Amino acid sequence: MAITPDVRADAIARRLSEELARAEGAVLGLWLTMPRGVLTFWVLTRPIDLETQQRLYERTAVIYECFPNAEFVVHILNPEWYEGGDAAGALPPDAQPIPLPAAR
Amino acid sequence: MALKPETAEHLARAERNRAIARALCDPQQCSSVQPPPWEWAAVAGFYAALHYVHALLWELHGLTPHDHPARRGYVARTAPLNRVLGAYDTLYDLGWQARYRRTFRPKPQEVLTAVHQQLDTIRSLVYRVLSVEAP
Repeated sequence: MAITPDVRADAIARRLSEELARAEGAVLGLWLTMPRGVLTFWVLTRPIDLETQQRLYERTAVIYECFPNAEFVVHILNPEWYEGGDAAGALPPDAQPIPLPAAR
Repeated sequence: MALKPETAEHLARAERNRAIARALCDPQQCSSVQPPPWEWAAVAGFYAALHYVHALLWELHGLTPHDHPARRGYVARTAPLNRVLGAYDTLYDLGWQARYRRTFRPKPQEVLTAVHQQLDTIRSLVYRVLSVEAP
C-alpha cells in the first residue's frame, strides 16, 4: 500500500496520542486539523500550570524521532488561559478527534 | 570570529522585540492601555524568540525556515536548540492564541514568566552557542 499523506497523518496522530496519554492525566483530548495541509494538533488539558504545559510541548518532540521529516504545530488549550475556563470553545469547528489510549 | 551579517541582524531584531515585549509587560510604560496588553507582550516575545532561533540556525547551518512548522521542526531536531523547545512553543502558542482566540485571557504572571524567564532561556542559549556576549 502506498503511504499517502492521510495515512502518515493518522500514524503521527496515533503516536502523539500514545505519548500524551502518558502525561499524568493532564490531557483530556486530542484533535487534528489540517489548515492548508499543515498538521495542527489541539491538546485540551485540565487546568495546568505553565511548567506542566511546557513539558507537554516537550513530549511532542517524540514525533520527530519516529517521523524525522514531520512538520506539525501544537496548540495546547488550557482552561487556565480562557475566560470562564472554556478552552474547549477554542477548538476549530472542523477539528477531528483522535482517540487517546487508556493511560498505562 | 565575526558573525555573519544576517546573524547580527537577526540578533538585533531579537533584542528590539525583547525590549518591546518587556515594555508591554510594564504597567508604567503602558499606562494608557488597561488592562495592560499582556497578549501583545507574548506576541512580541515570540518574535524575539523567532529571531534568536533564526540567528543560530543561519550562523551554524545556513538555514532559514520558511514557516512555523518547519522552524519548530528545526528547533526540535537541532541540538542544542532542542533543549528550549518547550520555552519556544510556550511563547509561540501564547502569541498565537492571543491573536486568534477571542476568549483567550492569559494570566499576567504566566506572560511575565514567558517573556522574562522562558525567552531569556532561549536568548542565553543562543548567545552561548554563538560565543557572543549578550548586550
